[in-house]
Amino acid sequence: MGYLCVALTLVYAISGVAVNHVGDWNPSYKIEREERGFEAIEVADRDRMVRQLVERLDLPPEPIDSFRPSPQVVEIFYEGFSVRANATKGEAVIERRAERTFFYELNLLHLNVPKGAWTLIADLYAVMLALLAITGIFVLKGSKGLAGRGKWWIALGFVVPLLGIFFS
Amino acid sequence: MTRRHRFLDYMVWVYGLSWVFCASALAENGKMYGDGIGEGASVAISKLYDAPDEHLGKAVQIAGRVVKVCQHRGCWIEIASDREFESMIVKVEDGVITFPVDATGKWAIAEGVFSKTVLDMEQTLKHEEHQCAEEGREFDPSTVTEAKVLYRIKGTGALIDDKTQAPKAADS
Repeated sequence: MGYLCVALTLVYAISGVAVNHVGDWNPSYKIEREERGFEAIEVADRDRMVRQLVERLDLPPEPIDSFRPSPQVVEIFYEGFSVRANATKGEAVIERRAERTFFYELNLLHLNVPKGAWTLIADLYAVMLALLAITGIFVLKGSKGLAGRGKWWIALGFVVPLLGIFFS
Repeated sequence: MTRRHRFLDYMVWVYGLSWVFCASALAENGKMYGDGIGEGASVAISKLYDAPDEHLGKAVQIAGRVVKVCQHRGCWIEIASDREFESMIVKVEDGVITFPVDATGKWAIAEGVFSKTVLDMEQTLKHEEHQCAEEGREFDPSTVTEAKVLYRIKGTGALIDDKTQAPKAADS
């Protein structure tokens, strides 16, 4: 059973560290931003502004769609990237998004995005981990086992989450 | 069977199973999120802003282009309204639903409870300052004269379509 758990333990451990630091980075996607300047354009109707921006920023001619959050700001969407341009300031930011190789797949499984069958697998894995933890207590005998220093290690292990709860 | 053969047997199974489940995981990604979408009343975003009190506290379904996604946690998406200069944020519980960053530019149908948050003056000033920074405008606190009311949808589920077109039209 321990061998069966190796792969999933690594998946959850690696993704766990990655997701813990979600405040500092996006663990599943790489986001690259490129700032560009262009000759300012006049505020007009959205289609006209998009046509002008496509030309001035040398963008592909057929975007998926566009949106104006305010009269002077235009957002243009393409597959895999988008452009946010301030028409009157002549400033644009091109944002490209790509999945992080390896981490994307691990996080997908860790965060149970697929649901369905994966929920069952993740539950089974959790039960197996619990069994490993409980049966592992009785593996060593004597002074290194439960009767000896083992019980103190177990007690110390319980203190960690309790401290976490206490200080949160 | 020797111990070595048994170990190899386990490893083959682990390897095979991991591929099967990774493949199914990837195949299902990018479609339904949370509880998905049900038969909730489809409402145009402009109608929610025009008559918010009619919909407050009720389950609604909106549809539109995803114009922004929470970049770190994927805990909200912003959907463009059918009317210019308007959008609606669909906020979901952290960790319960995670929207992918590459949902930006895709079509979404989202469902949830329409809610209202009344900001005080201090919160309104901070909100406006943030909005100005986002839109590249200069922030002038003297233009903020009254507290703002924010409308959002507390999302329960969504369908984000990989195609560029609307999978299902909302009531307009």
